[in-house]
Amino acid sequence: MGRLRLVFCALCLPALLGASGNEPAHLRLINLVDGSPHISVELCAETSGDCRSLDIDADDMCDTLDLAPAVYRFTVTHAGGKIEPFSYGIAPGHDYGLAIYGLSSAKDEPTFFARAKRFLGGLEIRAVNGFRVSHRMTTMTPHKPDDPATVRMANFSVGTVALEAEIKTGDGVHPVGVASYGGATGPFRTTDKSGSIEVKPDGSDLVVAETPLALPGGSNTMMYAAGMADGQLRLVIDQRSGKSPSD
Amino acid sequence: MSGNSDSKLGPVRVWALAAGGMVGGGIYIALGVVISVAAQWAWLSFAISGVIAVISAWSYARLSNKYGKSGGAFEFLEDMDRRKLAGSLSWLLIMGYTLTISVYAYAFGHYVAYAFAGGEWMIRALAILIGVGLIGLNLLGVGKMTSVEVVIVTGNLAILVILAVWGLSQWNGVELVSGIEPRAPWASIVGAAAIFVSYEGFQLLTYEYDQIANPQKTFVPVLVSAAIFVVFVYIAVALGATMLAGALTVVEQKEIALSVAARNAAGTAGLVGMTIAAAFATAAAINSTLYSTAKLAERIADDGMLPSWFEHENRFGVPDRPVVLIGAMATFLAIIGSLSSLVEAASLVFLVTFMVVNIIAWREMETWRWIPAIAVVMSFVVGLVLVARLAVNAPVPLAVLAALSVFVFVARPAILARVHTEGGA
Repeated sequence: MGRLRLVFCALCLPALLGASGNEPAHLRLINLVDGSPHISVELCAETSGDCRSLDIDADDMCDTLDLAPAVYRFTVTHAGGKIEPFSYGIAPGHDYGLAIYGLSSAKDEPTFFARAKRFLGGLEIRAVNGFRVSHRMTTMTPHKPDDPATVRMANFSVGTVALEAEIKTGDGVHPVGVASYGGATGPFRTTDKSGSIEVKPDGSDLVVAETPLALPGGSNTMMYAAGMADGQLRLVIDQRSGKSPSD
Repeated sequence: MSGNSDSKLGPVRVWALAAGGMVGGGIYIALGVVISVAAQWAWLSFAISGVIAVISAWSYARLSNKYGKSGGAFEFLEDMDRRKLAGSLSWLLIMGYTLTISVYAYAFGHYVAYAFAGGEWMIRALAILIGVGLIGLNLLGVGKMTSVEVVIVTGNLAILVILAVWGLSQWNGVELVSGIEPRAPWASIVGAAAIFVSYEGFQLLTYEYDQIANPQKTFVPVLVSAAIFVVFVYIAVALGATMLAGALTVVEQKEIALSVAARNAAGTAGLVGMTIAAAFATAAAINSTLYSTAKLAERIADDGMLPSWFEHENRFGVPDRPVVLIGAMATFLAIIGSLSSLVEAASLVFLVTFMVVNIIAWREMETWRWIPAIAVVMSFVVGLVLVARLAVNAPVPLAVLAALSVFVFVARPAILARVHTEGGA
């Protein structure tokens, strides 16, 4: 499979996926790997071969990377080993957040069944790797400043049940949504400029995380549920605001 | 064809109804599903499914000409003296149409609610509203409004083509994999399996065969050319909308992907235009599918393949019980179902149906038999892939579909023997 993919990439991708836009894309990498004090990531543009390497501490994200549009190949090393390299397309003018998550001590090699599920299921099967270290890209492009702000939550907290997020704003308490492990809620839109987030296990009244949140107009916020410690859920918040490419 | 003039359908109207029947709801919800599976090869998925659909349209049209009457697959099998198979397949088809209506109601709810920034409650309320509203319209005997449908279809196709051309004019290949992992070309087969339901609409015309003017001369070229046109529209929209929104956005917001693309292209005006197109297209598709399915149920009951309860007509001459039962079931499924499982379960039903029709064409036609043979082989491969995909991705809907199929093929004759029927099972 790996060799076939390599042949495919070499033969087809450069022609099909040629990028014509010059505007850079913006990427942040988020380290949510449980049990790894830091991770090392190398990303290489598949057409030009240009590479970058960076280290990211646990429950942290790197500075925003300005990248030339291309298909990039990512190699991630964590305390428990190296995960199978993977690729993502990075298009001009888009903002992205790439979360690396999972349990550092889990076995890295996906089973044949997991590979088959991934092939047949596509992006809809998120938890196919169990708690193995895996990755998920999210679009983070901010909206126009006069548009409502959006808030989402992704659940990468190893071992927790589905999590439910609510937001308190000036006009009451609103559900953001429920996300099982590896999944994310849909966006909650609001014109309020600030709010307070509460996260609970789905179906429970026990608040495991609570944090205030500024919501600039048009901002795009993703809250990553990173893991439990001392009965509290760790949240890593990525917020992008500013003019969208279409402005 | 109630609610319409006495004149027969000319080739232009047949073409518009066939193209509109396919585009009516499928593309609005299929795009995100197919990109999540096939990534940059989504266009190839539409092409693969399209080849099966075009050949199936050709087989349907030629068989309709051979048997010379309305009824589609049910009539073909009856005329071959395969009444049991005809009965079982027709029950399966009614289930497929019910799923299809639910997909359209689901799409209607999401597209309209998105324009009004509505949440889950509004989506469900809109799905119920459109379901109940169109059941009511059908019960009043205005279920088939051919001229209105032609206008809606034309407007819908125009907006989709504008969106596609706009997107293609801003071509940037990397948008096809923006934020997603590139996949190998053979993932396109999985994508083709997942969205096959997008092409099912043309066969509704075979239920109106006796209303078509000069069908022996026009039906084959009109139906086939409409199917080919739709294949190109789907491919263009798949590429164009992805250019405008980016692949990851289409996947993340698959329920309203075309509205997002239109908004990115033309702001609020684009959103309004696409919402109107989606609302009218899905409503028209629900309406025509509900009308035709109820008529099919009545026709099948008349032949003793469904309980005679389905034959009841109200004072407007409408088969009211099938309209209410099918409409209510579809609305319920739209409220509780997830997009992918609804789309894929319906796809499997129509893949099986088209394969059966192509087998009939292969057996009954004296010339060009290799053409339906190609579609049979392709349908079989794509169908197997879809079963495997459902088994790992949505085992519960697959199990329900399998149980219903067993019920249809095994228990149906026993049920019909126990209830009052006219004509016998």
